Amino acid sequence: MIMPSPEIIVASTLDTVLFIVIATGLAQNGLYVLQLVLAMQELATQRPEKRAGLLWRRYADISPPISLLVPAYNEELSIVDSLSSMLALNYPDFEVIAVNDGSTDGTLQAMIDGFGLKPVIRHYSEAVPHQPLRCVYGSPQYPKLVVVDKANGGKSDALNAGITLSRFPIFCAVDADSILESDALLRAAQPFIDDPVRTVAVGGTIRIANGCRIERGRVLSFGLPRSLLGLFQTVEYLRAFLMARLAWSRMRTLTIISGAFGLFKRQTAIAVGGYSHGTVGEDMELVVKIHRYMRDRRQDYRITFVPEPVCWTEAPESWRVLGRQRSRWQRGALETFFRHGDMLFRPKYGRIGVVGFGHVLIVDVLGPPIEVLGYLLVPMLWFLGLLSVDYLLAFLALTFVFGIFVSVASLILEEIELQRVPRISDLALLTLVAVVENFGYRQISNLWRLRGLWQYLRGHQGWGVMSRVGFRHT
Amino acid sequence: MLLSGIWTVSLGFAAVSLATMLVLILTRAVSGRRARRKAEQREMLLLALLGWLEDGGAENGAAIRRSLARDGRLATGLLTEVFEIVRGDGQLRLAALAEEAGIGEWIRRALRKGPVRDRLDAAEALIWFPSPKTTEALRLAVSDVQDDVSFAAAATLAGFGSELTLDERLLERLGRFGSSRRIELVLNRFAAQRPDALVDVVLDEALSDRVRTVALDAVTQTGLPGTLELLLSLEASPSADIRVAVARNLGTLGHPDGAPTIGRYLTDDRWEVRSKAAEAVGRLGTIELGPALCALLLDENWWVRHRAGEALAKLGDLGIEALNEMAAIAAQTTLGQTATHILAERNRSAA
Repeated sequence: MIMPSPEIIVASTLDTVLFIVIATGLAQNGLYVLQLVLAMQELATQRPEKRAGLLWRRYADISPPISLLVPAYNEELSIVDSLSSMLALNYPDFEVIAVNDGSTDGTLQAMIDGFGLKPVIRHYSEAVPHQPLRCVYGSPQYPKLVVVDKANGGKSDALNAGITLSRFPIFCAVDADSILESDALLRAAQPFIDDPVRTVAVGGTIRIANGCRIERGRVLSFGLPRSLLGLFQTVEYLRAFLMARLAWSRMRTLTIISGAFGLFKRQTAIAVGGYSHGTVGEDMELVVKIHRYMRDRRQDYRITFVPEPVCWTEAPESWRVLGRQRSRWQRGALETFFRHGDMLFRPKYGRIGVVGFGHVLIVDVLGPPIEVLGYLLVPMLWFLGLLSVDYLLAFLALTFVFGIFVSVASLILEEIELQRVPRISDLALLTLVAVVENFGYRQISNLWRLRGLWQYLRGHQGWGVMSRVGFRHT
Repeated sequence: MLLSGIWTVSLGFAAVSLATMLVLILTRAVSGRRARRKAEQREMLLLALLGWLEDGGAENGAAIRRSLARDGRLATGLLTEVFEIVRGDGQLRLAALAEEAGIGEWIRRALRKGPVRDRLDAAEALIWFPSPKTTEALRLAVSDVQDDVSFAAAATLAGFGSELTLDERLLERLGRFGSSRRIELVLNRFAAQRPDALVDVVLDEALSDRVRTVALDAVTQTGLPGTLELLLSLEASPSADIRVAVARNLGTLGHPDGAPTIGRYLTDDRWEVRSKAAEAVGRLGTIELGPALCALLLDENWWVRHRAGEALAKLGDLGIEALNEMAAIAAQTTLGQTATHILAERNRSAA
């Protein structure tokens, strides 16, 4: 038997690696095109109603009551403004349950002082596991507000405490540092009105508040972030929400609802045990658990994304903090993927197993390491003369040029269907950013995700420090 | 071949998307000016309308008619808002002015031919333009291919007191519409005019429980004679949803003859029925059912325990006394804690 020479082995290995790099890039971009087409279809058939007054007239009488759950950890700067704006939401029947998750700053005292709170007794059942509650507070001046103080247990633990205390059939998980538009609940509740039996969860759009004019927890006017990092994230959020989530919602394969703004049927969330502990991707994990639970029981259900309800969030403005956030998101996605890995491609889980989990596999699990491998190998091999120009161009096309198309296309969707960017100059700037982000930012983002993968493999836990300036100063 | 194709296709896609974006930015520049002009027009028209409603000058009326006739879409949006804030004689005058300006006709046309959202808006807006022509247009719209438009048209017709019948076609649609809460709007409007027809819906076992329970809620709201008998006839329904609806409506009706049924429901197999029955006891104020409520404070389901406690607190001194006793003698148990918490919540809301 003749053994192949080392040169032939090296060459064929390189060929295989390059084939994998190109094939993964093609699969990723194929998914993006599919998402675009589906998102366009969805927006064309379900055009959001812009007139809030009309929505109120149409739905106020039949809107289900909602409990807003607001976990707060060291939010002293903004908690009173955030809760005040939530209490002023334009929705017929809701309560706000703020959970102080053992903050080490003056979050609890700020709420006590800001709303004149006093300890109260509230009847509740331990519906889902969480750290013991220390005290429940209420105020006759703000009958819709309940504040609970508990030992620190993390975001999922705080949300579970909120689920325990809530009494309405639907709860809405909202980040304490986020701002909801006044009619966000009215819009987000629509799937629960149209299909109250089958709808178990609804997600809404998150947008970046940096650069907007904000006063007392309300967005007064839209503006773009002043930093390049903020602008990159603005385009990223548009792509993620207006394209990816809307598309998967149309296909009924949505595997994530952002922790910053998501509505769930309380009974279903309790049935799956509430938010899981020991993961930083508790928002995705809850959605996947619900899919699994409903599919295991062969129940007909809907998890929907609505493009219009806008929740504004403060984006990190420093590379270090953003890097930590992205690594954590990556870790969260991997934790959920491997916890529920048996759902992948299993016929029992239908399109969730094939499309939903297939997407996570290609984009979150395989995508980052293979793309980074491509960045290292392709230019080097081309430089050494071991790679044809065709290979180089194909790789550049898949990683740079196609990225421009995807980013600009999500901006096109936004402009045609929603028009939430009021100034033409802002629109032009975002178009420029959609091009530029593919040269540098996308690659750095991949490195952060790779770090997330590394942290996951090493069993890293925890959130890391998220320093914020607070909306008061934006 | 494949590799060079990837480059070409990607480049082509990127170029097309950038060109499209450029066109959109230019379009926005043009439409932005138009939108500003329209907003100004709207503002002026709104002021003129409010002024005319105040003084009713004939000259102003003619000018407003001309402005309204110029842009049907703008006029419809504006009028819908003004109708919401004007009452009585003002509404009638406004409707007559808009009809003279041809807006009624514009909306009826939109109902027939417009895109879905316009048809839906039109079906709702026509509530302000009652006329034989409107009734006819709405009747046709009840058969619209879009369920939303169909139900909005049906609800508007019912609001007119029109002789719309809940015929098989409409009922089939309601059933097909699944569980949507929008059917509550249609049936509530209908109940105000034709409660008797809804009784048939309630009794029709071929229809979905969802449609039947919504109809039952709507009938109860009207206070139609015979509602109690209707509710009692459904007491033994095999459907838990129907039994829950019976308990809820007996509570709403508040008739003492409903108490025996409520009493039986307190031991129903389904917790949803027991919980709703406990709530109904509180609304009826039936002291005789107090001991049964006390027993429910040990129910396996938290909601049943909670509702039973609330109902006891609503039974007056006897109920409060019972809760106090339980709080004292069983302080460390679920029973005692339920009683303590309910009393605390009651005291807070009383304060």
